Amino acid sequence: MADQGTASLRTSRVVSSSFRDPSGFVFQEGDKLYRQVNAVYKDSYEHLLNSGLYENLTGRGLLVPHEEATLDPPKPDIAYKVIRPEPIDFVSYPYEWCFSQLKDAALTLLTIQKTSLEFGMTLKDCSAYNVQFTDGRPVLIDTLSFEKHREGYPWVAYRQFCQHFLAPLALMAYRDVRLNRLLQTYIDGVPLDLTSSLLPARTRLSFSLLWHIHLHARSQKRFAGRKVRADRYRMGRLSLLGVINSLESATKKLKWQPRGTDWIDYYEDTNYSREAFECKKRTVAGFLDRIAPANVWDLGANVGVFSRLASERGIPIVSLDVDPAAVERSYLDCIGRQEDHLLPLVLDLTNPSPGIGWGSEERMSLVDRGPADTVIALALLHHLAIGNNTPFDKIAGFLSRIGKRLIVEFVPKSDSQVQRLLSTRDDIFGDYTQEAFEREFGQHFTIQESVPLTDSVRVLYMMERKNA
Amino acid sequence: MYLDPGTGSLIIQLAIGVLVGGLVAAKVSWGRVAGFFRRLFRGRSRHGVAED
Repeated sequence: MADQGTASLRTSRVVSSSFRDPSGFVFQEGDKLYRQVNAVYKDSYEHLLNSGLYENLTGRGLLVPHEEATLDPPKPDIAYKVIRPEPIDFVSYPYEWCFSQLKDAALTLLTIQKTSLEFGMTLKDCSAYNVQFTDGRPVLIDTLSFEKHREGYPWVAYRQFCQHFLAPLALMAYRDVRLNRLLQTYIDGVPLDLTSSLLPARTRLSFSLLWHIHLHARSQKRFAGRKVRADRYRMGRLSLLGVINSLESATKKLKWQPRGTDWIDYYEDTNYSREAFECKKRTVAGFLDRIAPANVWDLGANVGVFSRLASERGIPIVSLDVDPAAVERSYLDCIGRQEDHLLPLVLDLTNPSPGIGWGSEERMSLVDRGPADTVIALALLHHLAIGNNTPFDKIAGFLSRIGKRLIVEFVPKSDSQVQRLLSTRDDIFGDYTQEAFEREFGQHFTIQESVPLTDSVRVLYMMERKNA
Repeated sequence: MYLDPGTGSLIIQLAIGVLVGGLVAAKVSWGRVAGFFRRLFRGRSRHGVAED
């Protein structure tokens, strides 16, 4: 099955993140993404397909499958082929992943690298941005990351693996799980000298962290600016495999769990009755059945209890929460239950991921990745309105930018969770009423239905964006 | 000041390769030695069972 080419008047647009690799680039045409394979990459591309490596990796779900398209390439003078990779539901970035997502992405790339060597190829880069989550699992999306392995040569992506994966994982495991946000500041991975200075001294007792992080950082400083003839240095196959095995065992050994808590009772802090909870689930499920959305973003999703109402219906859902522990729990559940349609991510709604990288557009902002068909915002408004002093009109304006439809819960001041928020601050929120909420949200949305929850003071709303 | 970290990364990888490459070689050799003895004893025990 190949796409038919369209002759002229085409509006191909090169994707803004795709400019570093001379092997090819990603471009968009209509609503589809394609990849131009350049003539310089012909040999490697053919070897990937003919050696059996492509079949092996796609068969194990490690590499994104693609089909060759007969579309005219946007840059025909340097083109070899155009391919169309299987689409990804939602593009996420490593600074939005929880600990185990980053760790699984790292192990996926190392497995790919070991397999590639068996087929006479090697990964020429090891960027965390080349991995995406699809059907709940990490998958390499850059088909052009492979090159023929020249026997005796070291792994050219070694430094990148350390910076993109081992450094942030070690920081998360040994110092603080929130330090993966450093990946948002450092687009090519966390610098190793910074990692070395932030890690506790006891990490020097670990052979792999001592060598791959601490001494690696020292070596980078010691030899910075020195010219060496890289082709004079050789390493045997056993040494190369040894390095990769060592990275793999270092990655596997890194573990993280919220301190002083037990996973099982980590998220039982709710204030509503069983009856109210069941009513809320029923109502949200009913709204989802009526809307039948193509995709959903669940904001403030916690461990994803309500997100699963969508994923169980086969609706792709991005489940966003600011708490890395909640996202970790949700992801581990996804893996344990082999859930396909749920993608939990760490995101602070009061400061959502901006566009970053070259021209501030290499990695998309959250808003640029929308709008979602439907946004769910349960038990969230009071955190934004009272916890973050954000007026209703600002919240409604933002939600209408990121979603066409909205399932939202209004939590009144009389609710004990709101009272808890108010206990540590002056009540300057005179406008925090149901009337004000309906008035301000009514500016941006058409309220289609409201359902008061049984045995609770809370109300659930279904809305549609005006001028959607 | 920006300094290219590539050279230092290359050199440390070669150093680690020397250190751990020996381990991989030892593992492979140990696997062979262990395999030899396993086969040897399995062969003998099978022999033994046959004699009983």
